This record gives sequence, structure tokens and C-alpha cells, in this order.
Amino acid sequence: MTEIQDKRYDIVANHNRRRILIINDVVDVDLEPSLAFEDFDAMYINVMSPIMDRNKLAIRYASPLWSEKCRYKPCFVTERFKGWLGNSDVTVDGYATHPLDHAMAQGIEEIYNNMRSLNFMLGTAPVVTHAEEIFRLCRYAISRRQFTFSSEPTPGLSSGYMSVYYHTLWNETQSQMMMMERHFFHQQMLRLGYIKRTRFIHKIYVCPSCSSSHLLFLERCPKCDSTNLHEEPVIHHFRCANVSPESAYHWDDELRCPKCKHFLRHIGVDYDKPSSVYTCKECGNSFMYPNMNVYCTSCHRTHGTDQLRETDIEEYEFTPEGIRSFASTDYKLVVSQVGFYGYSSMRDFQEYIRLFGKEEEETDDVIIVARFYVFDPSADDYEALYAVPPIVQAMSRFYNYKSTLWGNYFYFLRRVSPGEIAPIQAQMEYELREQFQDYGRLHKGFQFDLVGNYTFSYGDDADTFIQRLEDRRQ
Amino acid sequence: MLYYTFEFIDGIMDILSVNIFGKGMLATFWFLFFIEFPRYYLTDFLVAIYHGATFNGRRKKREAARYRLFLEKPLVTILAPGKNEGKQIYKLVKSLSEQTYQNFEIIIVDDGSDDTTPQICRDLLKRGYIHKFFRMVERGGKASAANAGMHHASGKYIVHLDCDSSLDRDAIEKVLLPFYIDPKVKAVGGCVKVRNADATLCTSMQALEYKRSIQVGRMVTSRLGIYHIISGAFGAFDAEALREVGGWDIGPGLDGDITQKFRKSGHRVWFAEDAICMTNVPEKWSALFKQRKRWSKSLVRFRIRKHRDILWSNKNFSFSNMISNMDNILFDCVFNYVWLFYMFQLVLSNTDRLVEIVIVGIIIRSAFSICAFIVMQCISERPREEAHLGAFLLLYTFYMGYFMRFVRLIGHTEEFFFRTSYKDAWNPKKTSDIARMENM
Repeated sequence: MTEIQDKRYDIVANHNRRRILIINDVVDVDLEPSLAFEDFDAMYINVMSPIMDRNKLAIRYASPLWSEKCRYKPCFVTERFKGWLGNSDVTVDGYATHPLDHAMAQGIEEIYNNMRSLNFMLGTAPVVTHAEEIFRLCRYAISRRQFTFSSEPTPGLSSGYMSVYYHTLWNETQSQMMMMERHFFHQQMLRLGYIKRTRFIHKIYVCPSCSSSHLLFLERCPKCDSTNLHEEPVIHHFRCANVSPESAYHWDDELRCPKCKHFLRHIGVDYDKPSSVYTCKECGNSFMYPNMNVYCTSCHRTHGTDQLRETDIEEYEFTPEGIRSFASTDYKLVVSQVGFYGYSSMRDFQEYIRLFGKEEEETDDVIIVARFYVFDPSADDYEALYAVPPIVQAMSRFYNYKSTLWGNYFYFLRRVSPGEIAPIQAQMEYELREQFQDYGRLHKGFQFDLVGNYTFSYGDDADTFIQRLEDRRQ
Repeated sequence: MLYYTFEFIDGIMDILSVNIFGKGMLATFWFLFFIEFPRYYLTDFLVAIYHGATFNGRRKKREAARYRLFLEKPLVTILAPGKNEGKQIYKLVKSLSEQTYQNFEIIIVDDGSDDTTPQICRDLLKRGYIHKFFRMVERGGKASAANAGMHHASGKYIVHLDCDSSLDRDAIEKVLLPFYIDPKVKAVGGCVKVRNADATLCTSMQALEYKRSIQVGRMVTSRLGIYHIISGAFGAFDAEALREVGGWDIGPGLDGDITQKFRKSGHRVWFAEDAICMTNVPEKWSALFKQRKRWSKSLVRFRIRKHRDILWSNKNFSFSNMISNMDNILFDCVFNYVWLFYMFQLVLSNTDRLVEIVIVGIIIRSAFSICAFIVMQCISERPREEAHLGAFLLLYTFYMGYFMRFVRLIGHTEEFFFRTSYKDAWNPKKTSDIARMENM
């Protein structure tokens, strides 16, 4: 083992003659020129950094999901990480004490046997768009015989529930767009017969503005809207029919009726507590039913409880047709990428706008588009290193936007409710400019400029709008 | 057959011709002439004349009071406690939205309803039709519900309504005017009329009765300063004075009780005969019998037992208070027993011509009723709409002269000897038990 750990990475063969890539340090496998897809059959992550993020980074660089050279290959990690990986655990096939461990060897064979039985095609084209990331995730799950996507309550996640597999792709601070994206994906897969609903899990309520489930339920005074409320039981004194809050009866550690001055000794005989009343400490108003408002901690908006949107959490399972299609990559011919966010092709970007204009349900929502002019001299040699241009990589952190690069124009799209056009537009411009500036600091000669902001409402002519987007800068 | 008929008519004519204007007539119908006539017919007639004669003076005072009311525009709390009244509350709220005086808050107190009342009220609250809604999960009785509402009232005046009431457009305004006519007035009773007057014969009788004994009767007692009952269905109170007297006490009969408490505290009470509230009355004789028996029992329980001190001395002794209570006790209770004695005496001493005497009695009573009806129509704010009730005058004679007297007699006797009001389901057992134990 000591010998193995001397190098940053090494390849050893196990007793089944499977070549195992042993990773002892953070190694970006895709960028390692001496490593090729064909050089190894499985990975063993043996990083032992006291910084957990570094260990996770090492796993990510050699992940069957993220790395082009490692795609779908069995990935085992050292036993020491057991219980420390959190949600990333699902992208690991198992834990082993040694790369030549018998159980690990068995696990590797099982995965390959499974892929063989499914006629699973190992090689795919590089992942460029966000939709392709999701498809790869599906393929990965199928390769591990994980046919069921069951959502679970996920701490920190805006939507509250998500399949752990999805969690590897979708960020915790996802917005409504991501929820819509998942909905679009599920609907499409259901329509194609690739998945089926197997179980209803829960009906949850989410913020109608941003679909977040991070909601604070606040009781408010119906008069002044304050949350500074005090709830107190009321006492009914049988003898004189007086009904007052309990505090009015307090008298030297005893209960004495403020009306008839009799002492109350026995609940049920002298008095009872038929109700409780709220008193607002701000305005003194008393009431029985406070207004219940919901404050969304994600978008900082307040809604009534009846405005919350119902969301069904369901469990899905791949159908045999879905399994076959994803194993053989036939899905590429039928599954649309239009409804996905993140980076997409210009054609899908335009199609999304067209579909929005034709949505069956009339919506108040508006699409806002920011168009940037970018000039990146370093883009010329990106193909050698990345599947996608480095500028696209850099902008991929804006997962709440649908974006596309078309020549020297970078477009960012977001769907917003009418009241938030101006703030979101300002936020979008600020975020993107910051990111472009950062990128410019690292890439010599990079230039950018905001060409314009555009809004597209339901019912507008999509083609005219697209034409406006493609127009040269005035 | 014809022979007997003529014989019968001759008998009646004999009684009339022999007795008319004579001592015989007074001796036979002494109860009618010496007890009922002076109290109910002569007094009403004289007060009605006075009422008419002072109309202009009152109108000026009322105009000035109205000006002051709308200048100050105080917040008024409309308080409606009730149990299982959800369906009636919308009607009430609707009639309140039509009021000429609009600066009010509506508080509904649900006294442990076991139907959809809480849901209805919460919906009304949500939609802003009512301002506050309190629910007592455990039923505590109407008094406790009203007290709970009183505690949360923020108005200068509290208008107490039954949930099945509805008001004339100007009723709130008119019930508030006496507070601005005389600052010493701290409680005002509204005039309750029958909404379902044409439903059955029973309700038509009650419509006439309410018109006679509430609109005219209470107007008379109010003018004489002996007004002694502010209807639970519609009454307005100065909030401060109401809290000072401790709100409502255990019922039944809490409306009469609260009026006595106000009087005993030295406050002036008033009746607003033109502040009209409509309410539904029992449609069946059995239900009416039960309701009136309960009312009769409350007279014994509150006026004779609880507030008997008003008759001789209390710290706020007043002659008018004594007369007020005495009037109620004498005419609604004691004279019922006297009437029973009178009836026995009449039957025993006139066995040979009893039928003729009864018929003559009815004729005299009917004549009085017609006069009373004319007075009622003069006082009424809607005489034309109520004119048809005149057709029931003959039956009304039986209704008030015999039926009501029997009901009261039974009620009073039960309460005097068996204290049955403590067993009445109108109040929850827990409060009735305490009231009985404490002899309240």
C-alpha cells in the first residue's frame, strides 16, 4: 500500500485482470495527458487529505458521472470515507480497504456484467449542455441498476424533496426554473413511456414565486400585521359568567375573579378554559385567529397560506423501454432538450421562447433575456482540454438561467413574474458582469459588453422577438 | 236550534243592558276594569297622546343628537353571541352593511357550536364581513359568550344582538341617539318586531303581541321612567358602564337582569321605539309555550329573588326602580294568580250565565284591543304593512287573555316551588349547578 501511495496515481490490475486507476491525490483525470479512457477499467480513490472538500474534489475529478475518461466505470473509494461523503455517496460504487480487495473486484464484475446484460453502451459524446448532464445521470443510474428515482426530504434543498441522484446535479439553492426543469423532464419521460409513477410520496406546499419550500409560517395581527403576539387562555367563571384572559384572574398566586372577587379553586367545578385568545403586543388588538402568512426565506416574499402552490412528490421508475433506450443512447433521438436550463444550443434556446409563447395555460410570467457581446481569444484552443468552451464552463454557475453562446453573443434567459422584472434584470446584469470580469482577469484579451435587455410576454410574437435577439448591435 | 240561539243572544243582551254603566258590570268584570284597563289601556292611551303632543320637541332634540352623534362618530361594537347560529349570521351581517351608521366593528362569539358555525364565521372573518370572531370550545352559556365579546370590544358603545336578528337601515343610528339626547342614559333598548309574522297563526299572534307589549308597552314604561327590560335581541350599552356593572350574569333572563343592574347602578335606561330589529319567533305553539315558560321563570328568579332588594332598599335605592320592579312583579306575576282567583269566582258565582258572561268579556276585551291597536298603529313606523294584523284582534284576545296567562302561571308556579329554571338546558349544567348552589 505504501508503494501505491508514493505516486499521485497508478494503475494496477486485480485478479480479474481489471486495470484499476488508483488516485492518491487530487488529479483531474480529464486533463491528465498520460491517461486515456482505454487505460483503466475502474477507479479507486485513496486520497487521505484532512480537508474533506479536497477528498470530494478528488472523487469528482475521477467520477463516472463528471469525468469523460472515467464515465460509467466502477468507482470505489477508501473505506475511511464511509459516512463522510453525504449525498455524493450515490456516485460511489462502494468502499474498499485496498484496490485489490476481493469484494471490490466482485463489485466491478457485477457492474460490468450488468452493463453487458443491458447492452449498455459505454462510450458517449462529451457532455456539453445541461440536459446532457441529466441524461448522463439517468444512464449512470441504469448502469447501476438503480431504476427507481425516489425523492426524499433533503436538508438545505429549496424544493425540500429530491432524488439523491438529482442532488448530484442540481444545486441546493435552485430556483423555480430548476423545479420547472425537473417537471419538464418528468413529463417528457412519462409521455415517452420511459418512466412510470410508482408511488405518491407527499403533497407539499412551496412558494408561488420561487418554488422554494423554505418557508416560515408567521402568525400576524389582523390589524397591524405584527408578529409580536401573545397567546393566553381565557377563563370562564361559572358563578358570574365572567370571561376574561387568565392574567386578569391572577391574584397572589391564586385565581380570583375580577368581576365577583370569588376565588377559583377547581377547574371544571368553579371555572373552565373554553378558549384562548391572542393579544398583539404592538397595537393591543385581541383576536382568536391570527392571520397566517408565509415568508419565503429564499425570495424574501410574503404570501397568504392559500397562495402557496401545491406540489406532488412522486416516485418514478424506469420502464423496460426507458432502460433499453437509455442503455443504447436511442433516447437522443426523441428526448427534447428545450425545457432544460443551464447551457443549451441556440436552437433549443429559441424553441424555448417559442414554446413559452404557445403555453396552454395563460401565464403572467415574463421572459427576460440579457445579451452580451463576448470576445475570447483563448476559445481557439479549448477543444483540446474541455468538452465545452471555457467561457461556457465559467458561466455554468448560473444554473438558474438558460444560456447559449452564438458566435460572439452570449444570451441568458430567465423566467420571472411581472413584479420582479426590474430587480431580477438588475441582479442578472450585476452577476453576469461580475463573472465576466473575473473571467477576463484570468484570460488575457477577453472583452465583453452588455448589448441589451429584452422582455418577452405571453402572447408576444416569438419570431419577431428572436429576430430582435439576433439583430446586430445598433 | 234557532230557539236556543235567540235565547243565547237574549242572555247576552240582558247582561249588557242590565249591567251597562251599572255596578253589576264593574262587579262582574272588575279584573278587566280595575287592573287591566288602567295599566294597559288607559296608560297607553294617555302616554300615546303625550307622545304625539311632544313630537316636535322630541324631533328637535333628536336632530341635535344626531348631529352630535355624527360629529363624534364613535366606534360602536356590535356583539352577537350565539350557538349554532352560523346560517343566520350572514343575514345579520348583510343587514349591518346597509346601516346608515357605519363606524362599527362586529364581534361574533360562538358559544361552543357543534355545527358549521365556526367555519362560516371564520370565512366571514377572512372576507372582512366581521371584524372579530371568538370561539368557546366548551359551551358556557349566552352570558359568558357575551362577556367574552365585551372583553374584546373596543367601541364606545356595545350593541348586543341575537344572531338571528336583522336591523332596519337606521336602527343602529336610532338606538344610539338617546345617548346623545341625555348623557345620563347608559343603556338603550331597541324595538324588537317579528320577521316571520305571516308564517303561522302562532307567529301572527306574537307579531301583535310584540307590537303591543314591546313597541307600545316599553315606550310607555320608558316615558314613565320604569322601563325594565332591554331586549337581548337588540340593546345598546355604554361600554364603560357595562364593564362597570360586570357585564352579563348567568341566564336565563339575562336581558332583564342586566337592565336591573344598570338601574341599580344609578344609570338611566331608555327605549328607542323607532330603532327596529326583526327577529324570528317560534312557529309552533309548543315551542312558544316552552320559550314563554322560560321567560316567566326568569321573572321569578331575577326580579323576585336576585333583585328583591330593589323593592325596599339598596345603596342606590330609587323610587322609580322600585316601581319598575313592582310593576313587572305585580302585573306579570301576582295578578296572574289574582286572575285565576277571579276566574274561579266568576265561574262559581255565575254558573247559570257563564257562557254569556265570557262572550260579553270577549266583546269588551275586543273593544279595548281595537283601541289599543289604533294606538299601536299611531306609534308604529310601518302602520300600513302591519295593518293586516288587525284581522287577528279577536283571536289575540284569547291569546293574551287566556293562553299567555296560563303559560305564565305554570312558569311562575314551577319556579316558585320547584326552581326548574336551574334545570333548563338553555344554560349548561355546570353553570346552572353553581347558580343553584349559590342561590342566584
